[in-house]
Amino acid sequence: MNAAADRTSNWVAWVLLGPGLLFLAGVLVMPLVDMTVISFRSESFGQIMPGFTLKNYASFFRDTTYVQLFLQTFGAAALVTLLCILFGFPVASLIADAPAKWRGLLYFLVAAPLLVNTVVRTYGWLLILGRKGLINEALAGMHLLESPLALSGNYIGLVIGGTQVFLPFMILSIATSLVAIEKQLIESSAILGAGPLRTFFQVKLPLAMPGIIAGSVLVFSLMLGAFVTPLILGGTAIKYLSVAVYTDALVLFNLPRATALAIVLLAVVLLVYALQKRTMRRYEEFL
Amino acid sequence: MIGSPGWSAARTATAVLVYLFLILPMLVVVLFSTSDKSFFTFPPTGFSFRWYEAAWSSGRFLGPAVRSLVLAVLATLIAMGLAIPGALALRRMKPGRLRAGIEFFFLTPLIVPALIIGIALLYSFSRVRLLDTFAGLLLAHTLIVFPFIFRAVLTSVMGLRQHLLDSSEMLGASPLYTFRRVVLPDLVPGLAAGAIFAFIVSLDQFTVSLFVTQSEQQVLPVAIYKYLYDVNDPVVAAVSTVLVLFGLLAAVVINWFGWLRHLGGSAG
Repeated sequence: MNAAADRTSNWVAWVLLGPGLLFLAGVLVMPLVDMTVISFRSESFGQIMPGFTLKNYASFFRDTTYVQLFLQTFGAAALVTLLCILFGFPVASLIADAPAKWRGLLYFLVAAPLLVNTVVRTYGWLLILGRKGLINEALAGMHLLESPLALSGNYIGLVIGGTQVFLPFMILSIATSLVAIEKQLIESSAILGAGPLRTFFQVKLPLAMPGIIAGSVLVFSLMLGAFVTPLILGGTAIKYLSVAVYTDALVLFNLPRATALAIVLLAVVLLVYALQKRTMRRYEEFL
Repeated sequence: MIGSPGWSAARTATAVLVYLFLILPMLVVVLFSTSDKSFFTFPPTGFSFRWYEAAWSSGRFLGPAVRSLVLAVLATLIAMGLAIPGALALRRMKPGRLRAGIEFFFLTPLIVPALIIGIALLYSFSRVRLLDTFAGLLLAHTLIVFPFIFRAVLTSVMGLRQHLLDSSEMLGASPLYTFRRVVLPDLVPGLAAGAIFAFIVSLDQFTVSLFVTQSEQQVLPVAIYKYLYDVNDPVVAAVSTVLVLFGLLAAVVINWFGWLRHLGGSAG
């Protein structure tokens, strides 16, 4: 190809890319820049005041309620991630070992809930966990309970709902790793005299690790940013970062503080992704 | 695990319980929607369709439902119009930093949590009077579905067979003709699966919609949430059941295209 044709081809490429790039610049990049600017402003009676201030960020370190807010949010997200690994591994392992004709159905049953509306799925949990929900009514009906258990409007509801909403991502991620393992490796391990436990910990688990790491990063960051499940199952009484952003922005009309919280959340999510890239590279070199 | 029936049985039993856990909330919603009482009784008693009639005649869901459907179709179409040329352009570019950078940029709406997109747009839209307008809602939803469409299109575009495109050109076909008769047919399965998924993602989008609208432009998930807080009777379950069936139908169709298991991937 000569230089002129090359230049034409470049020109065509940029014309084709243009609309997408412009769209993202206008609807994503500029609003994010504006949001960052606002987070350094102060607020008075719902109005954003001119001038530069660090006080929105400073209060996160000084104020113990914010420290608590961050710790509880990260704690809940970590717990959901852990539960997803524990619940997800057996299913992923079953899918990987299943004969080809069953695999499609097993995959389908995992992925299908992802396409059902999140508000609807969370509402389902409210029906199960609520004060007059399925569990409380069933236990009361069997005379096992005097007063209803508090299963929603707190962290219990949030963790249960979050686990169900994000579990499919973990299963699909681990299954991808397990399907790639050659069956001979597991068989060799057994033939060479390793027991099932040893085969699991020394062959299967290390090979599944990339899937577990990728799935964990995805679930952890999705849960950190999750809003529907914390709002409906946790309620506004609990301390959760996303709910706090919502309350600050749309209930208290303190946009500077809400955006500062949002920036912290975004920074953590980006950091988690960056760490994943590094860990994965290290792990693959190690293998 | 190989050679240990005990382990294998335990694993199957656990997996069955996890599958039940995944399906349970949808099952409860569907069962509750046909209850003849407005509260839970255990064991369940009568059967009725009265909540479906109530949902229809309440007038609180039809408008938002139509708005959600129109919004999902338009957002998907616009995102396709932006993503297809973009993906074709990336295919022409040499692999390297620039191409990887643009590809990453196009996928960023997947990494930024919806909550943050919502609050950023809340402020930006309020300055250009797009808050609580259909145009604003459409821009927001196009942004949300764009990376899903782009990912599906890019995967298909990278699988295009260069020799077919070359032959078409050598045989004297114009670029437009080649696009219509050679490129597009190869993209259809990925594009269709991506479009259906994008449609569902838009229909599902609660967070961003809540931030950029007030009362004028309510979408279906927001209407469900508001009703849940005002009234909370099985009318919500009836509306929800329709969405459950809708989601499962979409899953069947996407699965038919062989794309369902690709939904779980992250952007990175």
